[in-house]
Amino acid sequence: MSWRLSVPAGELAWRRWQGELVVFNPLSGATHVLDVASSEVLDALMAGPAGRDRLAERLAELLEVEPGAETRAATDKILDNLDALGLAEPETA
Amino acid sequence: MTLRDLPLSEVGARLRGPGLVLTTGAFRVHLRSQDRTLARTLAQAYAAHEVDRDPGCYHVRVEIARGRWRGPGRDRGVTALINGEPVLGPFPSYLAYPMLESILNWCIAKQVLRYVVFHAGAVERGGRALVLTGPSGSGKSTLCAGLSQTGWRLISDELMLLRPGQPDDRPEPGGPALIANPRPISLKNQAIARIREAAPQARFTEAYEGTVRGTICFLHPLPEAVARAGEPAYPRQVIFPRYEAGGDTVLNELEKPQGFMRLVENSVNYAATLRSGFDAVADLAEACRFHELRFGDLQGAIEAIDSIVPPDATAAA
Repeated sequence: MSWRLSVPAGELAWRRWQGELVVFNPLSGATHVLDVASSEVLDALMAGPAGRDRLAERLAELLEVEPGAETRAATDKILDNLDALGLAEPETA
Repeated sequence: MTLRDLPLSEVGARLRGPGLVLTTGAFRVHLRSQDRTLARTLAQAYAAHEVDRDPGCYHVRVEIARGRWRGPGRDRGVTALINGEPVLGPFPSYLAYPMLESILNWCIAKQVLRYVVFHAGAVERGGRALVLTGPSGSGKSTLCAGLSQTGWRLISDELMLLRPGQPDDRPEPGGPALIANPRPISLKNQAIARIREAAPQARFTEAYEGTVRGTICFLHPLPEAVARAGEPAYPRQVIFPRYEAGGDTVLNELEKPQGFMRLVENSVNYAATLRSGFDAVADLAEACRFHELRFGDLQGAIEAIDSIVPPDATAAA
């Protein structure tokens, strides 16, 4: 499944400190802190839509581990959280 | 002209009649009141504040009017009105002055959208501003009062105003600015004695007993701070104090993301300021370090603050 930002990348406001991202969602008016792993996934989506497996590979590179079931599960959890925050959503066909 | 330039009889006559326009930092308030003790307290606590710079131009009309109090005795009490509408009271007449202070805070908290407003105090020394924020009872006003009597300029207490940059503005030379609004500092219960002891030269209003917050008293701002109210201040430190009676002084630095979120938790209008508010607080966070300060005595807390903002610091970084 492919994922994309729920908000146009140019409209998101964010600052990065100590690897964490503080991000303002203009659609909800809410501000969130994303940890390093979630920031990596959001960064990837800012560049454009991406499949879950590609995002999991990028997360594995960040964590310096072999990509596999664990990183895919971690990616799924991050994407669910980003979806709940209104920052990312699955692409519909 | 400042309030001290007016004879007390004139202050009272103006409050009972056409009103008085008082400038407090960025705001001008048109005040009226029938209460005689209020005129005296106001004249002392706001002695250095400007009046009648432009009598026809003000942000809000506040009146402390006779109320319909039904307490013991013949006291009819007082009611507060904003722009002619009753908003608070009636309360016993002896609470007229605390009621006025509450109303001035209410006006800023509820009506100001031009600035990001925080439940916070702020002081400045050597060009570096220190923000003190946290929930009620954390000791921020006690610290703000203590610092304001020991070489720091009072920027504001209770409500702090952060000016967002406009999209076509040039960046502020020292980062985002705090807009000064030095007014009397509200102290509660044991904090009153602590500041009296630490600053014997300080001047206060009378103590008001029996309020919902216990006994409260207002520390007069120093005239020097009021005279410099037009000067913005540039924050470099944000402190989250936590008073613990008899506890040791402990200072812990926080990461910026955590500091940012704790700061916005203490804003009264952050959500309404949207992107400009985020940018302003983020710029503040870029310019600041964040600390949590647990303290059990005022002197220990001031020494801890001196350790991160040395007294000989002379200019903003």
